[in-house]
Amino acid sequence: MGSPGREQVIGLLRSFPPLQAVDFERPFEIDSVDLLQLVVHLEQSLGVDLAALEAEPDELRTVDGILKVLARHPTR
Amino acid sequence: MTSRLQTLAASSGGRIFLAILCCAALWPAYGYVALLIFGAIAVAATRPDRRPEVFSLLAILIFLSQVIPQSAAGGLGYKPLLFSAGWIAAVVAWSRIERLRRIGLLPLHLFVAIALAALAVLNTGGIRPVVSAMAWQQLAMALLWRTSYWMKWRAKSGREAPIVSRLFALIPCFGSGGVPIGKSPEYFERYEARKPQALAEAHVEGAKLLLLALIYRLILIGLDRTLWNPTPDTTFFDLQALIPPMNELMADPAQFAVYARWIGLCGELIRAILELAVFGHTAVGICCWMGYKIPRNTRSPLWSNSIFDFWTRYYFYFKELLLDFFFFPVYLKLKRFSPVTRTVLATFAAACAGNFYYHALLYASPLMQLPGNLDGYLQWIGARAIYCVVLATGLSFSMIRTVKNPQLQRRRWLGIMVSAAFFALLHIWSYGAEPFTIAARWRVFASLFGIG
Repeated sequence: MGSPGREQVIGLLRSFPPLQAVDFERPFEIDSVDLLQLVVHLEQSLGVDLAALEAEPDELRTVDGILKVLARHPTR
Repeated sequence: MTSRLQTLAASSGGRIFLAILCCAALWPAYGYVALLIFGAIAVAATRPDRRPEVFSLLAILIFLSQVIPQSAAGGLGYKPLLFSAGWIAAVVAWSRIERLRRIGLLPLHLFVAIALAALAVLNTGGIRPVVSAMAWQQLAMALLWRTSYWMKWRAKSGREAPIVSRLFALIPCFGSGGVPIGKSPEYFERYEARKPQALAEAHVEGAKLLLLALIYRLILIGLDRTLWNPTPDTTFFDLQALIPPMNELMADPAQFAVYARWIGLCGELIRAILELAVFGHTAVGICCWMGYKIPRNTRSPLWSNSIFDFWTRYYFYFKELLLDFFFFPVYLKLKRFSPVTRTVLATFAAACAGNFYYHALLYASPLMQLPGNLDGYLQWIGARAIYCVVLATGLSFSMIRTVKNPQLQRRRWLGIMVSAAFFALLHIWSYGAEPFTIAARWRVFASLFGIG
């Protein structure tokens, strides 16, 4: 199974309430508490282990960053 | 107003006008270096493709303008420059040579901690002069966390990532304590203004921040002359009895009424916020003028609606440092725990353990003074340990409350009161240095409630 595409990640982020009205072409401003909830959201929705992917907080603040993290997963 | 300023900043004449204004605002802090900054702004504005190189050159010049006079005053000659150049050359070599990149962050931090301990032991034996040992310690601290961010960035960036042109993220040209304003080269790139409109927005933000920094600096000077260090010429009536300076409160709280002790404590919190805002606004303002509109370091902390909100707004890049190196790795590893347990454990890892580690290295200067001032070090670091435990506890409660009730809105005035009181009280354990013992700090704390 390949990594999710850009549109799929944007769709996933849109389903996360604090990011519903965000312009994903820029780094989105997300406070630390919302970031933690986003981590849980991504872990549960995609079934990934972000620790094993060595995700950084700043990577999860852009769509490209999230795609880069997910691309590190060799056997998703 | 902001859109008018952006229109002004978008024109060449307006940009020059704003840049001259900023240069004047920087003059009290930087003197002739403000002219160098002005020159760099001009070059970066005309050659946006050379922005990183210009910023790196500016960072080197600002760093030299700070280190050379300090070295001369301490009689250290060229040694601090050699030390810094050697460190930066080692980081560049590490960045370029793939085999060296196997050395991770842990060996770096172990090496610095052991080197500082060795320096303290050598100093106890009188082998190293005090001023030299302190200079090494301060330089190592200024470089350590920047290097840590750099290594994190380089480990994940591709082989083609530019190294030398990104040195502005590594050279400690702003501030003290080694907290990197702007984090890594990747972080700067994310906030780089690539379009004319974005550049105008960055310049307006930079102008606002530099002017605010100047205003806060003038307020601090005024308060210092009338309140904290008055002379008969600068004060008209005895303000100190009403708003006691923190050093006098720490020395003998009993000489002031209980209400005055609280006012003194709140005054100290405001002073700390203003000082941090002057430093942060200046650094971020210069970055904005160089074309990187990175977030502010201090953002109205007295307008926070919770303890966690205050901490985020007070010293953003220190919070980010603890988040990046301590909180997030722990939080991700605890996947099998509930969100609340994860949050509490990660908060203690960052705000308590990480915060304590950062300060244990930063506060090593007493060990370099008065041959082996171990008791002074323990008093200072002990007070910081209390600070870290209380901070982590307060942040945990505040974060759990937010995680459990994301829609919960607290009355803003109540949030302001709670967070300001918490941080004012907490400041008792972070104020000053080793001459204030832990017992003296407890005495001040008790005196606020009329005890002792």
